[in-house]
Amino acid sequence: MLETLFSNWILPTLRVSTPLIFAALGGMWCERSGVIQIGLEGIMLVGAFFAAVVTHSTQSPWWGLVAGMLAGLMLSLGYGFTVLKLKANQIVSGTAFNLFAMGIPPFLSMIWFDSTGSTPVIPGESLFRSAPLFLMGAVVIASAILYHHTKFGLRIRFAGEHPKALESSGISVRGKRWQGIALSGLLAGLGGATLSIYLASSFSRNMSSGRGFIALAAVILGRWLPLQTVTACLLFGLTELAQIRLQGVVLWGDQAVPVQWIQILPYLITILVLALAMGRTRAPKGLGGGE
Amino acid sequence: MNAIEFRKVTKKFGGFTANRDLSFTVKKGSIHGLIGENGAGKSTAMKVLFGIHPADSGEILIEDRVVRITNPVHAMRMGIGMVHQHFMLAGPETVLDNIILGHEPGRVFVGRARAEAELRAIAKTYGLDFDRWDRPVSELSVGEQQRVEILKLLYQKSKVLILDEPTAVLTPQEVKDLFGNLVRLKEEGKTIILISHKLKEVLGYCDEITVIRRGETVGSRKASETDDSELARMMVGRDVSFTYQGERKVFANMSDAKPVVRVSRLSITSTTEPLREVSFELKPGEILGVAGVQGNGQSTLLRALSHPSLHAKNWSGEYLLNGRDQSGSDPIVLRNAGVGLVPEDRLSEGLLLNQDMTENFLLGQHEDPRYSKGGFLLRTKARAVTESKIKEFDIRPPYPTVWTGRMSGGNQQKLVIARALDPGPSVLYVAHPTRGVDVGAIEKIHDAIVQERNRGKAILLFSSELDELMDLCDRMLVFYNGGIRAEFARPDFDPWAIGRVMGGGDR
Repeated sequence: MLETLFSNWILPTLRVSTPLIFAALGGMWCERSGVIQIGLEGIMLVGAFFAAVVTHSTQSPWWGLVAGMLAGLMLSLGYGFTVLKLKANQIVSGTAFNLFAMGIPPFLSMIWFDSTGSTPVIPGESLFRSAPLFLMGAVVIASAILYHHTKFGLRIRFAGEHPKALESSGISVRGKRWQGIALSGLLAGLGGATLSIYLASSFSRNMSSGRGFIALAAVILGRWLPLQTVTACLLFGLTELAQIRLQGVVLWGDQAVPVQWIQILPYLITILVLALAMGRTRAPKGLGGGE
Repeated sequence: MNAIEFRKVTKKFGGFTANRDLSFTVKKGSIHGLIGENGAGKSTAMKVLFGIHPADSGEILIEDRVVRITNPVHAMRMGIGMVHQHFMLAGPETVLDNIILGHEPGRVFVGRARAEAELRAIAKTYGLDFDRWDRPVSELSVGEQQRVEILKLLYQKSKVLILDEPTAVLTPQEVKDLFGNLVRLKEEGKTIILISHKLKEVLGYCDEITVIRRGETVGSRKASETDDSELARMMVGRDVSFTYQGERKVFANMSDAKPVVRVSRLSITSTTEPLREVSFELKPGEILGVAGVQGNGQSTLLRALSHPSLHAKNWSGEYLLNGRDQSGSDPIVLRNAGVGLVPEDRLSEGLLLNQDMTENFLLGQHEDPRYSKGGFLLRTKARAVTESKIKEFDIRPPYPTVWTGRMSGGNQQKLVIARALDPGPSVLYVAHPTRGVDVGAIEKIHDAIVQERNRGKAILLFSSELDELMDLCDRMLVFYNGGIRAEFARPDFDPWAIGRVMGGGDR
């Protein structure tokens, strides 16, 4: 009984939550430093794409993982340049980067594989089995420790909560924000990579399908705290799993519920949960503001 | 030894000279007052010292050695620390984390245990009563937050502590505690620079006082060898009287006059500061004072009178304005019925700080036919009127395009008062008209209030300054525990009797 619960629900929930958890923790670090990160979606997308491409050509998922992280890092640093150096509006710039990221995979896949936005299938032996799961556990624990017990965590929190206090104690707010942005790129890129080379066996067009935004919702629901954010991700992961399991299931009458209705589920629950939780949450005070 | 010495320090911002050849010395182990009117340049001087705005010319000496301070971190390393007017504390974070930020003892980890032990020792050495290291700062009172800021400086091993208007936000008890702590710090060898414009405070606690006017040093005096009138004269540049010197018109037949405001058995329950069965009458040509220790119902009374609809749910009693019932009215109704309001907190209730003087002057008057026509604002007209008010009330800087957030407290208050008087109200509710206002401006504001009384206006004056009430009022109501405990009439204002009643005793 316990074993079937584990293999049917717990393990699959952890699996589908993995990309969300990586991306959400990245988003949490970025937003804690005071920078709004709505670009998680785009970062995940390019992370997934480059991970699939590199895994395909090297036949090593580890190189794929590294490629996904680097691609995410590049995109986030570009975002950082616009908002920290050029002082662009964070929402507008983040949206632009999301749109930009959507165009990258179709463009490159046409050049490299003569396809309109997907990569060739990677053979099963070159894909991850369960390594990302352990990696995720390590990142979660590291994030929690980093957040609560290290100087880095303390200072990044102040960069988002009271940048002037941080600055007046002699520490560069902008430096912390660059670090937060870089972490979001690395982690969301990693999350994207697990989409294509862990949960699937190739990159398919618009593969992230809103997961970046759901990860951002998890950050808000988790009140910008690491373990709470992870818990929120698990909730969203569970609804996604339920969505997959409910497809084709006959609930009443003799017809299956139309698959479109089932697929709405994760998004619907995101909206509902956020609407209900929104009143209780409190964003870092300096979020989206200047230094 | 001198802790700090300024030698002919000049600081310019564009064409404006904030500090000109400023020279003074601060002795080590003393409390040094730096006073001047708002905008005189005392904060700029301290920002120069703290490295926020490096000086253009002149020398600064720390412990008799010439130094060049270019940024706050540098200043902190030289042992100079500053408690800003707006605290540099993050509300949701703990006291401990706020204090040690940037100076954590650990290499990678924060090292909270070590930091806490060190802080306990510091608190003990300086006799600062504090033991709530792991509480979020937001749970602390303003006075406690200030103590956290001082602990932060001590933790950073500051030798010179600069406090910028530290008492502006404190209750009288907290002020007493603060100065007790500062005296102990001094006894332990710290040097304290106190920026203030409250003469009583600097005279009571400072060893030496330097006066700045228009960016220049007027002079320094030992606190024991000067008094408030000399300091006020040095600050303002002329003799300043602390009491109203103008004419006080005598109205015949006051007892027969019809009251403008009649409040009977007004109670407001279910708020943190309830009102219990308050009754009074306010007649034209009188200033009726509302006295009491803060939190005894005065704030609720002002809110009830100026914004009755806010309390509509738990309202009982009668509120007549010129004979018409106003319980449940919106502020605009009262305004149209001839009420002028100077709110308790001009920053949060009186002004839009990121808007200019003209727009602030229009605030609440935007539908007045004098300033709008067919839904459009008559901006040229509004600007011209604002300009004339700037002249009339001597508001500085004298440009209607200046953001009110950039103006000093006294000038902000003059604008708020000018606006309240503009529609020619018959009743004025005035709260704390001189809070955070410097001596020169206080005189002008008091003049304006009594002039309105002489014109036959009915004025309800709320103030926490008993001296101010005794100087201006015709009658005074003393509030205690939500009700009127006693009434005093001019000229029988006995401060001791009033003080006893404020504390809940009998006359």
